[in-house]
Amino acid sequence: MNEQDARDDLFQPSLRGVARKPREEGNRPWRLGSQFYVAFFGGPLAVAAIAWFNAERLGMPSSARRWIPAIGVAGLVASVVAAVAIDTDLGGAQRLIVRIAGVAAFGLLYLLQRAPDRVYHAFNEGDEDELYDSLWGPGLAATFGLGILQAIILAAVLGAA
Amino acid sequence: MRTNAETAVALASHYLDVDQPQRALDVLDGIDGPDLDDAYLWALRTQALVDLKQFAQAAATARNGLSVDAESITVLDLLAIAEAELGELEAAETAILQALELEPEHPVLLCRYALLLARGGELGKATRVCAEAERIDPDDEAVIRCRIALAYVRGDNKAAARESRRLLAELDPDDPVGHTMLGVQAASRGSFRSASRHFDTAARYDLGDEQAVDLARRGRIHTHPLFWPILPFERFGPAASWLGAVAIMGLLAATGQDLLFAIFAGTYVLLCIYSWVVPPLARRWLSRERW
Repeated sequence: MNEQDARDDLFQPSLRGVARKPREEGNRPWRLGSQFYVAFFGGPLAVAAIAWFNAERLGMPSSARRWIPAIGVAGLVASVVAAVAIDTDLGGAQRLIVRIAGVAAFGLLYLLQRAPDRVYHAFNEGDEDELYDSLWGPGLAATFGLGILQAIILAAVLGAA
Repeated sequence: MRTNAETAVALASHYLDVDQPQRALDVLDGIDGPDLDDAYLWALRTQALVDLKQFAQAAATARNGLSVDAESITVLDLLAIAEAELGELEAAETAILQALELEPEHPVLLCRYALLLARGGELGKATRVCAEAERIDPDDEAVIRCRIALAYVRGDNKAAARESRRLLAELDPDDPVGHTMLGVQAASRGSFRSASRHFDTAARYDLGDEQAVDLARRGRIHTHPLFWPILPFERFGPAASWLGAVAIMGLLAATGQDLLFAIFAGTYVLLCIYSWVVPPLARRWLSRERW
């Protein structure tokens, strides 16, 4: 592509169908830092679920959003493989593995959401409490709901192995 | 345009210059008939509505202006601003691209487009458009501001601070955007006193800017002694401080330092509870104080 073509390309529309309406309470994104607690206590599936809904609220394109479930499932598979490889019956060791997998998944999900979160923060007016919703309710739901699901999967695989 | 209308337009323009958009609008409301066929009048009216943050009306007014003069760059630019604020990024892009078709080498329009693209998540293209504006006029204030905003959005606080220092040194030592960005960078380093000073300077520039005043208030609140215990959380973020604490506790447990482990773990849990409970209460209490 020569210089003129590159310049012309700059003036081609890129925002077809893109809208960023101001968000009402209950439909606003969550703070990225708060997702760490969900990752630590709930594991990769829980944090991936929260990141998925957050990505939707941040208006992330579906091409970027599809990585989120992949990261969650990869974290689950990694924790199951690690638990089988270590071959331990100790609940503490299994919990530690799930936490490490959750924190690792959080790192990747954080990187994925960082730029859209910055865009949201930069172009919306209001203080932090007005811009973001509380993660307490959804975070606890994800931590318990998907954390228990992850524990059942882990126990089933370890039982079968 | 008749003399009365000319006077009204001059007066409205003056009111907009001195940040009195409602008065400008009142003056412009008195104009009717054939005088409404002037695009400049519609531009002033749209500008007043944008300043009043009445973006839906601003967009409708801008469209009326374009029916008078479809090639008014000012009105197209204002339409893009109004549509962007309404969240209608496609409509905003259409307007700004029409303006750029008329004036492709206009650095302000290019920067407006770059920021619009950033808002829509097109950071790569936004950077290229900003670079194009910089090629045309690297010292234009709009270009420096655009570079600051894009650096911030990319998460590059250092580049945002570098550009902000340039803005303050070369254009205006009291520029509120420059000081706000330096404040954000200082806060991200955990230097809340320095951040508070920058936010204060930004707010003093325009005490009517609610967001700047709110930032200054929050900056001051964060320098209050009640916030000192949680400064490490603010400095490193929740993830890094949790991981650090867990690593230290793991190390203490592994080396059999049970007493140290108990003291550290107990202190850490207390600090966590403090960080959840005290800051919201302190913010509520301190924000009642006069800024």
